[in-house]
Amino acid sequence: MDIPVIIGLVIAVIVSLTVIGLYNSIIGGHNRAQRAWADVLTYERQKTKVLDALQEQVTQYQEYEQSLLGEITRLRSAIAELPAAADGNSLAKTEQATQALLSGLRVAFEAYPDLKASEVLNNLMREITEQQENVGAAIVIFNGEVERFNNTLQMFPGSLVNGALNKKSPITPFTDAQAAQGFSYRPNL
Amino acid sequence: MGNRTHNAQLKGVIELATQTGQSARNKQDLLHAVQAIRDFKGPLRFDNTLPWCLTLLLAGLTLVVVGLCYQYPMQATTWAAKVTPDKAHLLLLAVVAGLLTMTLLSLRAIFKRANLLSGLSTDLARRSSLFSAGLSPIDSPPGLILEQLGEHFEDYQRGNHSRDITRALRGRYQGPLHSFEYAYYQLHYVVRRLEQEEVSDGKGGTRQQTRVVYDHHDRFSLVLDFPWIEGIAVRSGGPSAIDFEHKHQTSSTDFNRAFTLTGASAMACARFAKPVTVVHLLGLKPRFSQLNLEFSLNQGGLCISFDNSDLLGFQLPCDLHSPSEFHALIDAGVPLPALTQLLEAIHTLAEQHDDNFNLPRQATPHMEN
Repeated sequence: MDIPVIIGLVIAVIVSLTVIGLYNSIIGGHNRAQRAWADVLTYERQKTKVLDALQEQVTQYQEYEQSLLGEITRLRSAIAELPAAADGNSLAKTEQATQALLSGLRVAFEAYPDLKASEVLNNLMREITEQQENVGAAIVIFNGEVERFNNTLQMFPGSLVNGALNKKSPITPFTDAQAAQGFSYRPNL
Repeated sequence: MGNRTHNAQLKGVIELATQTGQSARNKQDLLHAVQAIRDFKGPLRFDNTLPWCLTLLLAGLTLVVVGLCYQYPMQATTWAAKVTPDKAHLLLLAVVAGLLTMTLLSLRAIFKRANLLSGLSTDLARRSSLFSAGLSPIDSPPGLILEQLGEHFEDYQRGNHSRDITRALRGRYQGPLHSFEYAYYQLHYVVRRLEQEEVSDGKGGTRQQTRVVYDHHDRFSLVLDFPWIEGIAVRSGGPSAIDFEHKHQTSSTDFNRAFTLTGASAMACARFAKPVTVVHLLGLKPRFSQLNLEFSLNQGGLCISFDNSDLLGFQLPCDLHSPSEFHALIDAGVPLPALTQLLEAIHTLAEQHDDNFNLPRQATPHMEN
């Protein structure tokens, strides 16, 4: 066999292996981001279990019932609306509802000593805060995976492989628009 | 005579403070040692005028002899030959070497004396740091400690030649929610391996030779009761002996690259790998080299081990040369920032995995010595 033919074959094999590797890494990256998103959903939905217990407790305290029950319902419906496909933007409503509920609980705790003294309510408060911390950490992991996936998608030569074969779209990471409003600084992204 | 009296008095006070420090059992004893230095009338520096004069004289004499030998080699050899006719050159060399040795010994004595106070400061601060962290030595024989640790944690099965517990301390941490007893261990282990090397065969060529190499290592760890997690190993390096049967990949690529997470069951791994724990351990990784966490299978114990030797390290912003500042430092207690950081990290891990509906009663603040 001629040397040019051998060189051509070697180059063809290297290119094929690279394309296969990139194709698989895009699929793997998408699946990892999807799994990280599933973690976010899991911990968001675990909050609803705590909400059931919280709702039960709060109904015993008639005077705080109305406002807190309203917050609980809002959070529950926001969690129910979360899509199965990875999308950081869709989290904004849930996060706002969670913050509103936690703030409402804190205000009620501070204002009414009998609420603050309730051990069960304190433990539920701690549990929901812990679930929220898990959601926060899951979002950190999700955003990391999204960045990695989007980089593979948008950087050369991954962009070529994705354009020709995978045809995946970049995933939107979660950004806290409410927190961002508090900054006068805007990065020129 | 006045200078000699000052030096002798200062040396005496330092020796007394050293003895007081070495037998100290609490912060007050350490403060007594510092007070002894604080009460010293006169400057806290040795008067080294005479030793420096002697050193310079010896150094000058050495240079003169070397210069004479270089400039007038014949005369120098003739002079030496009058003393030892056979070994004239050897005598000249011996004279130069003798003078040089005396110069260096004199210099060493000056610096050694000058560092007495700094050395005492470091020793007192080290003892203060242990008192303020509530650390005390574990009296059990090292062999027995190692045997007991080896029964629960595979991380102590290191070193195919020898292993030994070289330091064992116990302490208690009082966090906002949980308090726990812990033990600090330093494991010294030796790995024996064979190495091939090329040596000359004496005929202008080389031959392969096998030699035995002993690599000495130290491993540092904290061991404590951790009843919330069992049968989990998180390994960032070292032998895979600590791994459990089921390997688990978390949803974080960064974590999967940094650690190998294994557990006694897939369920145990999934329960452990909460997002907060994954992010928390990733945050610890840059601070601790070769960080491993081993949660024993049945006893509810945690062994957190690493290669960093500075866990009991402390900053010394001042020393006994400014005795009032140093007294205040010892009175406040020398902090151990790395140990505190690790204990806080363990407390955070406990908060992440405890049962929110079965919490301990609110703890009282820990009183330091």
